[in-house]
Amino acid sequence: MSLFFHFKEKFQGNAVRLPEGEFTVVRGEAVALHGDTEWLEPFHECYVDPSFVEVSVANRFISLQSDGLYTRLTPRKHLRLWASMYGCKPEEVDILRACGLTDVADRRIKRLTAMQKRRLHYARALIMPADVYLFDQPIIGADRETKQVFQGVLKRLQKRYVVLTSTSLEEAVQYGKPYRLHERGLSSQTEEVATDSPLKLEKISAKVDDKFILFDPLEIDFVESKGGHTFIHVNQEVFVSALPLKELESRLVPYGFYRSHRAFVVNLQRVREVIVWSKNSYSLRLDDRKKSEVPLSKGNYATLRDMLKM
Amino acid sequence: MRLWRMIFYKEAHQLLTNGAIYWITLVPYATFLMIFMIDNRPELPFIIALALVLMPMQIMASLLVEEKELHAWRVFDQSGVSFHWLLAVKAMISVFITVVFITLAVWVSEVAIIHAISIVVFIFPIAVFFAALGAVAAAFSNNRLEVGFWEGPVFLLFISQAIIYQNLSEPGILPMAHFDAAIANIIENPFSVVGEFLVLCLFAFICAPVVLHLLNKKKHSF
Repeated sequence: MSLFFHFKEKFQGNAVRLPEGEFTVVRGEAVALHGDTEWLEPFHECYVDPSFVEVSVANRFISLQSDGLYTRLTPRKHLRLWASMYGCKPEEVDILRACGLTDVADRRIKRLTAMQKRRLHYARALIMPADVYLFDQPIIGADRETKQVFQGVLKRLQKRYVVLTSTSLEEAVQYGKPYRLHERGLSSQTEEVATDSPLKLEKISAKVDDKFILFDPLEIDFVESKGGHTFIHVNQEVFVSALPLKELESRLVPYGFYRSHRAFVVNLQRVREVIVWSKNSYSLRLDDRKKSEVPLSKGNYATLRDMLKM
Repeated sequence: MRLWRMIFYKEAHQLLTNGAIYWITLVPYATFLMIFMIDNRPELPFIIALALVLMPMQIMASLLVEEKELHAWRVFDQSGVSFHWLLAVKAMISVFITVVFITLAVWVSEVAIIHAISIVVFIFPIAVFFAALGAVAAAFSNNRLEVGFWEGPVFLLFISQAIIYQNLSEPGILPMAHFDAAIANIIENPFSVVGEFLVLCLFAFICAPVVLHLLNKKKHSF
């Protein structure tokens, strides 16, 4: 059985805050939306909009990064508070065990570690009898135990519809069927790599665990070759590619990429500054959040100048 | 009813371990004890006024601004717990603590029970007004430190007019003088201050919608 989600376009002035999109969630298979915070935040606002999905707002669980806890209560008291709020009687001991909080059940929340606090937020998902669950960045920066607990929570929610949102593509790929949320809407992020796929030449693949992620060439900031491996830099995340830099270069050049250095191929659309350090030293600064710098060799500087008519 | 119980459960458990609230209540208690030890018959109107200025406003502001600091209210909001309920519970708690303290002060001062009840009823709209002021302070502050900036001037104003009141020969213009006279009148004859009481009720009644309007505008910040 599946559930259809649809969100409408949102505007702020003349700018699009959230593009229109739709996706389907199947019970037992989480859907993970990956994108920048600027797109995910309006999506979270949509989640509590009645027209978003055919499930009443009261039956939608939402756990955001910004959610806090009453720090002077203990995890046990918090569970009782939530149980009273949702009008149910959960098995307290079982939930504390499932979330790895048995040892700290009676310790004040302000004395818990960040990971224990995060696991307590998962516990709320096990108490609230909802149909749809939304977790925002549930395991970003989490330790192994917290990741295991979250997997356990997802197992317990197998008969429910689960949506995850994350700024990390890796997280999205690990925990669900990934979609990318961007200015043009939603697009599916993974597909089985079929050798005879007609899309093969337009996508650049990278392997994460047991899945291949397919990138739009224009999503890539730059590609780097280091220590015999090729690394694809996308939105401040790094993915390992099985292909050598030379092959990637030949596939990316038609999309506006340029071999700036023997170990770098850069997306020229992302270049904001060409820095001349000295007569023989140059670099390119990209227009990403980190303002990444990519080296530019002397020989390639001359060609780039001609290309960009500088 | 379940949701009311739930908010009370949360507030009670949070309150019992809230050091700031203990500190706020300690100041009037300590002042009262000090005056009581020096002079066996402390000035009751001053103690009541001090408690009214210090306690409901500070407790309300402190409890409410904590919701902002902890970012925990969103979950309750989504579950249909209204913001007005939260305000009502917090106001009840702050007024209750004030009333308990004032009752204790009146009882220690050996005032007859009927007069003690009259005093508590009389100060009720004033306590509600200061609690409302505390709610406004919380709405416009981001943390407990900022709340302190609101409370400081109110407390200084109170202390300065109390000092002026002690030294003026005709202090009729000062609120402290009216309050002093009202408490003295209640002890003489409780029904002699019905007019003043109705004025206070009307004042609180007018303030309530204004405060609610301000809080509704700032609701998103909780």
